[in-house]
Amino acid sequence: MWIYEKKLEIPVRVSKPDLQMAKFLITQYGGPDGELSAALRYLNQRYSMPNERAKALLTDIGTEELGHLEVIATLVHKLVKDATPEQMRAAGLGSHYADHDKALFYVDANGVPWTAAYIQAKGDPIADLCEDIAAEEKARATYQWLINLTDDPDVIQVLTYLREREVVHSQRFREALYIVEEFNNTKRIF
Amino acid sequence: MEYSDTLRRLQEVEFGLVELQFYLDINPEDQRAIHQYNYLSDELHRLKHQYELKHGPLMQYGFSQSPANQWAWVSTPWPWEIEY
Repeated sequence: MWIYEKKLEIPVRVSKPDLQMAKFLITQYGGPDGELSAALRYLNQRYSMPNERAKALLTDIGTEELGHLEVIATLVHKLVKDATPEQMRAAGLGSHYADHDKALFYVDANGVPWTAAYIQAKGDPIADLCEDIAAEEKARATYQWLINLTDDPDVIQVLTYLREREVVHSQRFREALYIVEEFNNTKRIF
Repeated sequence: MEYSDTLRRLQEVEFGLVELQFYLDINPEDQRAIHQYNYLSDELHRLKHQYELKHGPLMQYGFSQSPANQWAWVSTPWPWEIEY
């Protein structure tokens, strides 16, 4: 069961409308290393995760990623909400407008729709935790590339926060991997 | 709607709890961290109550009480509509 809380994890402000940036940012909504991929990847891996601590971590990080999905959605919404169709067309969002108007959609920066092929679930705790660490590092890098693409200090503040969260997630997943490997390496005598 | 100080404080306390949650998942034997977690959890409940009296329910499905005279869930602003 999930309970919705009617608040964002952090305040989200933008200094000015920026359609180009919205087009890039949407990749963290529905792209390969975005927040939807992250939340679905972790929450789905829980059922076959044998380690108690890793199971809890997948649940809790997966839940925070759903919160980040709403942070990114709010950023994109605030950047595009006052745009005209002409402005969207000029910013390369004409095809998005044709299919979705100003609705958000789970696509990457090129407009390619989200697919389950972005995520993995091998059922092996080492393989899955390595996948999760790699996913966090790819998300961290994506946030850095997005920061490099804007000069809006308010957008940069939100993206910097999200980048740092990926660093924390990666650290916790590394610790979980260490715990699982340590358990696998202990001699068990029956 | 304006961003309120209570909401800011709520976000700060909840952030601390998210961090402690992850830490405790990996270090469940850390008594000091459990103590911090419960301390912040008390603070969170106090702040939530204070926020909800003024700004309406934060959570659905009965996890927040509704004001007796109106169903405020449909009239208070959504997170993406607030001017922070």
